[in-house]
Amino acid sequence: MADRFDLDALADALTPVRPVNPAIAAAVVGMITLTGTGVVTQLFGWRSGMTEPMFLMRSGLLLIVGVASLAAVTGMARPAVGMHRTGWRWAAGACAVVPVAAFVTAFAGETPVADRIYPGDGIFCLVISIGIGTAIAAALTLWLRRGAPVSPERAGIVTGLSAGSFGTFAYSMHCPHDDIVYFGLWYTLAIAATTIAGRLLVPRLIRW
Amino acid sequence: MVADDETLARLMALAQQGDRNAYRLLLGECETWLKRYYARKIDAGTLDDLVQDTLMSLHRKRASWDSSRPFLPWLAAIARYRWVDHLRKVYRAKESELNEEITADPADQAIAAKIGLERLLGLIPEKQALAIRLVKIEGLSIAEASMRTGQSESLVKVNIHRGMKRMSAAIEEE
Repeated sequence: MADRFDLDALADALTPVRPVNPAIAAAVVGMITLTGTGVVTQLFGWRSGMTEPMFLMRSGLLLIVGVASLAAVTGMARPAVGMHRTGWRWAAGACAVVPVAAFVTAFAGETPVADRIYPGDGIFCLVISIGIGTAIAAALTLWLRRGAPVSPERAGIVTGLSAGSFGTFAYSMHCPHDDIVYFGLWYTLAIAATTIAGRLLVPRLIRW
Repeated sequence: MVADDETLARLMALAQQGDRNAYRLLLGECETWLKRYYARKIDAGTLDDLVQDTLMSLHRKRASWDSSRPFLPWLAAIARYRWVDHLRKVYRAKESELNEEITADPADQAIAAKIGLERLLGLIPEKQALAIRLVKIEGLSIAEASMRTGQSESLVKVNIHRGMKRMSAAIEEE
């Protein structure tokens, strides 16, 4: 009878809920990215050469990884046996070509690597990209807490990956460097940092 | 026999809007479904606790069901998550028995093959599944499982640890 009572009590405690809506998460991430881009470009200026092929390619790659991993995060909030969320892995795998190409280029070229990585600019890039990424990750984590992610570790990784990609994308609107050695190193470090932080910190915040 | 997915989905949609009668009906159906779902995968002493725990999760996470999708795969994901969590926390007492009286509804067989717990165990390597089955589900000690499988005691522990991790990552797979 106690069991029956519990079910009745649970039913009595029911209040209407608004189903978790992925469009809201996407809109919030989009707004933070745009705001971050606005702040960075207002404070430090737009880069010149907005139609440079290398700039367009890297921006496109960052957006693809960001969107693919964002789709995975929003899907993870609404679990179901039989769901396949592997798109983000393919996108991330495609982007992993960039640091590999940067590594090969760095040691095959005649210019010394030290002259191509601009550590001062690189640290600045890391701070800004990770800063914007942290804001995005915080918003996604709050949103995930409303959902029911059943693989918190994976959700943490994908949250960090998406946040880092969008954060770096926002910074790249200012970034004056088009050398693959430069952005292959610093952008990869920024995204790796948010992804590792996501894996370590997010699961304990979204476990239920 | 438990109501079909379409009926459960309709009740859940009403429950999300705050219909308590529909929700009460849904909870009753889910309780029966979950008892069958967990049958032979948990000892009788903790079956009711796990079912109630899962129903509480259903209640807290009801906003995470998407009304454009089937209901049972969502409930199964919640149930698998709670089951893996339960196995991780609890060392089953040897003297407690698996509930052999509750069996899956024949009508559930097709869907159970896709979203059931046996399927989840089938997604991890055989040796890891065996170690989990013997120690976490049947309640053998590490030493007894070691004797039964021919694996060393440390290997049994490692296989349990890795198997739980893999199952945790495979909860949505079928």
